[in-house]
Amino acid sequence: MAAEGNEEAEEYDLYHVDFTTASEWEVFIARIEEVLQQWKLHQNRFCNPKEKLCNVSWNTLTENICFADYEFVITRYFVKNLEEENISEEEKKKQVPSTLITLMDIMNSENDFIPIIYDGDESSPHVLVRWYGLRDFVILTPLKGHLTSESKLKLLLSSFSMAANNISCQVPLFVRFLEPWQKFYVGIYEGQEVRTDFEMVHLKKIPSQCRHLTGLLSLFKSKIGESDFSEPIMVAARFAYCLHDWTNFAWTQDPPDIELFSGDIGWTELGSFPFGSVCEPINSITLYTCWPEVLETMAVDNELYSDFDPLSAPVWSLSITKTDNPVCLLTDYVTEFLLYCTSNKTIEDLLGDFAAKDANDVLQPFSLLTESRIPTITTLLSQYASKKKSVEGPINQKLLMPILFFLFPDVEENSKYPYSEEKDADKTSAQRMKTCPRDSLIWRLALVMAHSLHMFGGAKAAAHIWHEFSQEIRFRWNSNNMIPGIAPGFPDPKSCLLHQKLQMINCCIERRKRSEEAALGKRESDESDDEFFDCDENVEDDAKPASTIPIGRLSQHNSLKLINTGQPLYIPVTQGATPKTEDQLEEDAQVLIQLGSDAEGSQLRAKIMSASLLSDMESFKAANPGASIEDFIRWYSPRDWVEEEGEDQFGQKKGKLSARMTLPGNTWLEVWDSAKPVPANRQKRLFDETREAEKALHFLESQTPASSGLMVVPILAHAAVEKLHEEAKDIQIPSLQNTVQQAIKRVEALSRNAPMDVHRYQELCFELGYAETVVSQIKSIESKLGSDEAAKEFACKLVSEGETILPGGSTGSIASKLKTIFVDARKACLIGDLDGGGSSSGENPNNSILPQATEKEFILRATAPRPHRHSRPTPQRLHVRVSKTDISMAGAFTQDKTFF
Amino acid sequence: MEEDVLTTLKILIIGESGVGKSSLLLRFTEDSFNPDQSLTIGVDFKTKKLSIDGNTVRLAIWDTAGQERFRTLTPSYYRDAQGAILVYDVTSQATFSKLETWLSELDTYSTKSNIVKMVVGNKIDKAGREISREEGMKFARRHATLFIESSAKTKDGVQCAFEELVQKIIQTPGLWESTNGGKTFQVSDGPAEPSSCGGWQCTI
Ligand SMILES: Nc1nc2c(ncn2[C@@H]2O[C@H](COP(=O)(O)OP(=O)(O)O)[C@@H](O)[C@H]2O)c(=O)[nH]1
Ligand SMILES: [Mg+2]
Repeated sequence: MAAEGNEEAEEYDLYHVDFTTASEWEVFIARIEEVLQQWKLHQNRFCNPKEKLCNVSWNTLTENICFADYEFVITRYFVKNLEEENISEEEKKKQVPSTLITLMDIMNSENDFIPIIYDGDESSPHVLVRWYGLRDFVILTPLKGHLTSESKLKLLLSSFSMAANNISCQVPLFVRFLEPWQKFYVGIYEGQEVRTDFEMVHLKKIPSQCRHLTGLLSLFKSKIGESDFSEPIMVAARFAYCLHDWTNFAWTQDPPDIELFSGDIGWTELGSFPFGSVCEPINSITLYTCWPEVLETMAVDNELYSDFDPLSAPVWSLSITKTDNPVCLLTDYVTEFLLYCTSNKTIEDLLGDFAAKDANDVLQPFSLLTESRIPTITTLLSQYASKKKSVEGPINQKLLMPILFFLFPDVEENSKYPYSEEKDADKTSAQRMKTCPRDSLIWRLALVMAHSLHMFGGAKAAAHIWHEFSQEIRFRWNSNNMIPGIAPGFPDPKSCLLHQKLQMINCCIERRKRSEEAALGKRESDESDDEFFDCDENVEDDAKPASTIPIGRLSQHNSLKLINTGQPLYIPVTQGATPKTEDQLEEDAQVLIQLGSDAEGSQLRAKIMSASLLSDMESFKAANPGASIEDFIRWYSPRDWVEEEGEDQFGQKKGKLSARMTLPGNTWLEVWDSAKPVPANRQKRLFDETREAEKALHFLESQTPASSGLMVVPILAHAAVEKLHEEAKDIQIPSLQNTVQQAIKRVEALSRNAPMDVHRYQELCFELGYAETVVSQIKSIESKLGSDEAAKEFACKLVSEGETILPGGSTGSIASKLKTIFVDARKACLIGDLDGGGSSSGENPNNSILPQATEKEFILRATAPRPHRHSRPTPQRLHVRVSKTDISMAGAFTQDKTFF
Repeated sequence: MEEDVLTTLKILIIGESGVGKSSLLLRFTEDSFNPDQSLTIGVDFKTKKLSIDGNTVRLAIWDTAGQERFRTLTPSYYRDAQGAILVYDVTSQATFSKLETWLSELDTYSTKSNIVKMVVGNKIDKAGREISREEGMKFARRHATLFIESSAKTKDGVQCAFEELVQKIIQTPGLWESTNGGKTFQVSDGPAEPSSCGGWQCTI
């Protein structure tokens, strides 16, 4: 404890023991004064003593300072104050001068037991705030090592004392003593005519009288001195009850496993992610029962009897400790999948003979009409039915069949998992992701691959799924069956490449179906002339009379007549637009770009582009025998037809081609001249569905395991953030919601990012991991303490802000849930004791809901004259913390300086 | 110098046939005007470097034919465009009325959700104006696009149209990514320099 008494003698003594010259000591004191003045601690300021210290932000200022060769760091901790000018008149009235604030703080019970968060040796706010309720103070710590010598401590304190008196410093000054983890601080405060000593005691052995209030009161009184107390001592108390053992209240998520899928139920699980932490995310909870202000005379607390009944304490609050980095299922799934995407194993490595069996087919992609030997669903079905033995893949057929039925539900009569017809309702989020519609084929594929990776046999199983998938797609093409669960229409550049490829194959299947149907129709009724069918290149010769007989008409134009003949103008059937996937578009664009940006390049581009112009012109000529370019232009580019006054012989307005259209040698005229009257169905096809389908199928079949993973990883990530968003959406924690939004944004960006970089998904895993952990913590607390509105809000505060007061106190609904948990834990404990043979005292568990307190805290306050009976009454405070194993006391004892 | 180019931006020019799309492009890239501009077939393409606020970008500008029939062909080239210029002819109500269709076409086919759009009323040198500047401006405001009037023939507003579009693209976060690693754009947060664009500009 800090010294009192003859300072001068002490100083003299120490000067000889520790430091070389008196002037060094003087320099040290001067330097302290300098720093304190620099921080303006000698000036009068104003503060609001009512300001709660639990929700303010803290500032620190730091300087280095030396005593001879001994280096120190001096730090000021203080509440960040509003700027002077921002303080309202109202606020100003509440303020008091800073000369009074330290002593007021010591006596202010508003800041008792404010929660502090420990992080190693650091805590926030500083432990001194907790022990003394201070808002502004200075600490001196050795730069290296730690102080252990009492005499050095005394010297430093007296230096502080000198400096504080010299400049009338208005805040307490502390020295950190012993090792940092011991959190041992000794300090002084030099006020106007008073002086406060801040002293601490840590004891490993707890004196029995110190376990209870009665003993602590007499200790406090004896420390203050033999004076009559004008006022009784005010007591604040808080008992802590910690619970580690959840018995039936543990909250964990079981990873889905193969067992789940052995029955009929559980298949919908394949279409979604598992979510949550696999171990209890809340390590422990601590209940604090608190009595904020009790008169010493009103409370008895000794070894035999206590008035402090926790169940009727006026304030209950709760804090939790969280499990460090619990394994979370969703995050684990994604992480595992990313690993798969970086593997350099080949399909052969993973599937061996099984893949080799099919490899022959893959190598001959153009042998189309041969009966496929690939085990598609249909062939598998018959194999399964007849129990025929064949080479099995990593996933056995019993398991594989339901998976394939889930991916291709159209195979079953009454599938439980059909793809929904309606368009995505929530377009906004889906649109920004370059993936695929929710719960579509490849969405399911991504999830099934992830599930396979996790529980059906690892990388082999995932590769097997991809293999089966691409084989089934080929079968669809071969057998003219549309692929289910794919958005209709042309490849959508807003979806991912894999989705576009499947759309492309569907386009091809549709085209082929249409032309086959048309050919069939042709055979049945010969006269209809507007159908569209495939033809050989040489059929063109048969079409010679087409120059006079119109063919390939779609419909009559509603007004135009041919200029030369007066016949109605017919709009021809034209070759439809060409579906292209984004990689093909990119290739096309590259071809055009490579032609250069000069006039010659433009010419060549026009040439390439004029293929479709030629096709349209030929169709037009076939549908309108005797037509001229004027007729074509009036239909095709009406703005290049300049109308003039007067009518022609057929009652149409006269007109002429625009200037640019009549330029000699322009491409339009050239192409018109070279166009023969050929209907679209006999032209060279602009789109060759067989070639395009083969290209797309080859694309699917030539993926390595890793690249197939990369193909679906954006979809998997999309599904993951959607799941996260779903799970987190009702949890009002800003940092959680921010992380969720950030993760969604990240997936949006990543999904549009080509080529794919798996490493950029790593960040996503951190975000997923953090958010999934927080959601698990909330769910765990809700499962224990209820999930009504109040409990939800409580859970959020508990997780995001730490110690939280229970709404409704010890009688509220959260408290009653808590009691059940404590009782349960006690019962389990008793049973454990009985099993272990140790005969318990037979204590009835009903009348003691809570276990023995893990920690008790008392704050004792009094205004009493010190050092003598006739001194002026000054603030005295003692903060005691008794745990099961040790005791700490921190006292602030003030004395009158004028009556020595 | 090639290494000065920070990124390549893809820009589309769309609108009805004959409104002067190819002429605007020719004016911007080669500073010339050809009254006998040939009719575009499908798509054409030109490049030009442009410096704005000390940043040099390469523009790849895709010119499209405006005909109904080509519309099945050209949207393929909308992919990944960061900017779009929608042109109408101020002397033709019909071309102005069609803007709505072009906008929805753009919304359907552009792959970037935040593509920067600019409406350009061309041929202001020509007699027989049918669309007033106010009407054009109103349309642009309603659809939250940039707006400018121009003449490919007299140069008015052409340079400015492209500059303003590019500046807006640069200022739009996430719309472009520097392929050049460490280099970044210096983004000035003020509006486009009024001096260079005179009375023609109208930033919405
Ligand atoms: N007076 C005038 N004529 C123009 C202007 N811009 C284009 N033109 C003419 O309009 C016609 C069509 O132009 P063009 O660039 O081919 O239009 P596009 O079909 O939109 O590409 C051509 O004859 C041009 O000379 C302009 O600003 N003023
Ligand atoms: Mg043109």
